[in-house]
Formats: sequence, structure tokens, C-alpha cells
Amino acid sequence: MVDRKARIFMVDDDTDLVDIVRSVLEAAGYEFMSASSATEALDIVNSVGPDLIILDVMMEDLVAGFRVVNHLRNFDAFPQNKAYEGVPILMMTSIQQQTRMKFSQDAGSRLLPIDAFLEKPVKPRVLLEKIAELLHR
Amino acid sequence: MRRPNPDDPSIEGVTAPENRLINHFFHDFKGGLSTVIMCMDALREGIAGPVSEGADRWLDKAERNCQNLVSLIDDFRDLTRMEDGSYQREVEPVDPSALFEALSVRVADEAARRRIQTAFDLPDGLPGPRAGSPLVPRILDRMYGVLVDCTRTAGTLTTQVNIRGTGDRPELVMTIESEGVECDGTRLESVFDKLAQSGAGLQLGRGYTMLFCRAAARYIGGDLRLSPWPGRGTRVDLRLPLAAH
Repeated sequence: MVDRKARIFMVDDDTDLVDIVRSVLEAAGYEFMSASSATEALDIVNSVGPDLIILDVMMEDLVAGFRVVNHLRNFDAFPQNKAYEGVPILMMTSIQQQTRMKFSQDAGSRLLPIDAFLEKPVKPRVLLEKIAELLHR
Repeated sequence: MRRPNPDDPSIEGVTAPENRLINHFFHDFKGGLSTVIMCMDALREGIAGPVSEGADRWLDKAERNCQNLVSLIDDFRDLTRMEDGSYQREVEPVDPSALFEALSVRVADEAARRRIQTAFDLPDGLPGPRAGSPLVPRILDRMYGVLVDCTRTAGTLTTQVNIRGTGDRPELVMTIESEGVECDGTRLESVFDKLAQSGAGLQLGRGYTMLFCRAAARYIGGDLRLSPWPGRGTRVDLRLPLAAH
């Protein structure tokens, strides 16, 4: 756990949803930054320096969120991203089954290497609990 | 060209391109609704200051209706996946005791509001928690929503639960009697027909919930049947395997 306020980086193209999550998380004492596409997220992630990433799947294309995960977690292809190894990725999406089935926390798994999955709609309280859990692991 | 589902020839199948189109529509609908629900949740949790009791009551109604739409979207989307074979079979813990406890809570408010007497007659020795299909609690949740709606004010909604099979493959066998709307024996199958459901004049199972419930029950190896309860209402016979399918 970090000493300063934990910084949450949300990547989602639904600006209203981003607004409400920003309000909820800032009220709970987190720093909040956002990007509205996978491309923007990968451009600014280094300057953001997130402690946790909340990621949508379908943005500028059907698998934009998966692309972000691949960049941040495929250290063979992107060794510069090794710094994100311990940064939890919470996928929050309306796509229910296909994401859940591809998600695994097991090291070495060929499934999507994210840390947690929440299906929208998500209650603010549930989101806060999940973030706290991931940050305190 | 449409092709039937190989697992259930009675279900008219959607094609893969149709399924993709439906999935995209549903994703967009659900995304917007999810944001609305989250806004209402945040308001109710005080994000913009205290919410009066009256305002909370209206937010609750709005949220409940949005949630119902999300459920409808999920059900129809998964129905198309079952039809085109892309539904991914999942396993999650299913605890029969907790399941019926949750169902009692699920129907309690609406039943109390309309003075409906509900009863769940459970057998001794319900099987313990096990790895099962998430479709089991979902089918029960959806179906009881419809059944409470179709039970007349001050009527009864009774459920007799039995367990068939032993060892690793027990099944829930349920007979549910709803006093109120008496289904028309000659038109029973129309309850499970999408096109018929888009017409008018249907009673029990109006809408798409019951057809989802039956398709989902059959998908995991169970079944759902309706029959008239002459002069009283409608009887539902439901069989749901508890083991993972």
C-alpha cells in the first residue's frame, strides 16, 4: 500500500460513468485520473503512475481493453512495462461472460491476466470494497 | 440461413452474425443503463448530500426498473448465445439452502404488498453447496418474479421441492402452484415462443422471461413445463440439475 493517496486510473469511453466514479473515489480519498480510449491510456499511463487501473473492454474497438492489458502485462513484448507488474488491473465492463471466462489470476495462465472483474452495473460500495481489497493485497 | 440449436431442436437458432449484432446492441443498451443505475446508487449513498426518504423511494423504483431492463438484456443476450452455441458453460458455487432463502426474500416485498401467501416446502436434507451452473439461481430468480406477478392479490404461491438423484448428480424437482392467472392449455407453447410473445393477449409468462427460463433449464439438462390448475391458476413443473453441466 502506498503512503500518499492511492492514484486510480480509469480507462473508459463513457464520460458520464467516469464522472460518477471520479466523484465516488475522490470522496473516498483517492486521487483519480482517466483516459477515454486505449490509445490515450497507453500514451499517458507512464505520466499518470497509477496504483490501480480500472479498465473497460469495448472502447474505440471491440477489444481495446484487452490491448491495454496486453501492453501492460506482456513483459516479453513490452519489457519497459515491467513496472506495472504489481499494479492491479480491475476490469469493469458490460461484457459479461466472455471476459469472466478469459480472466485468471494464476501466474503463467494463458487466460487474460487481470486481477479482478466486475460486471456493470457496479454499486459504488462494491467498487470501493474491491479497490480497497486490491490495494491491500 | 437459420439453423436449429443442436442441443435443443425446439429452439429456433440465431445465426452467428445475428448474434454479434444483438450482442452489440445489448452492450450499448446495458452500458447506458449501467451508468444510470450507478448514478442513482451514488445519489442514494449520499454522494451529493443527504437524500430524503421520499426521494429515496422514487430512486428505488427507478433503479429497480433499470435493473429489470438489465436482466432482460442479459437474458435475451444469453438466449441468443445458447441458440448459436457460443454460450460459455460456467461453474460457480450453488448452495440449495441459501438459494431458497434468497428466493423467500426475493418474493417477500411484493407478496406482502399484494397479500400473497407464499410457502416453500423443502425436503429434509437438501444437498450441500456444490459446483453448479449460475443459470440455476438465475432461472429461479427470474421465474419467481413472473410467478408473483401472475398470482392474484391475496392468493397463494406454493412450492414443493424434492430432490431426485443422489451422489454427484442430484436434481431439484419443483412443483409450483400459483393461484390466479390460469394458463390456457391450448396456448401453452406460445408462452415459450418469441414471436407469439410479441403478440397480444397472452397471460402467464407475458414477455420473454419464461421462455428464457425454459431454454436455460433445458440448456443445463433440466426442463420447465406449465399446465393449467383448473379453476385455480397455473402449475409449474421445474427440474434443475444441481451439478455442473
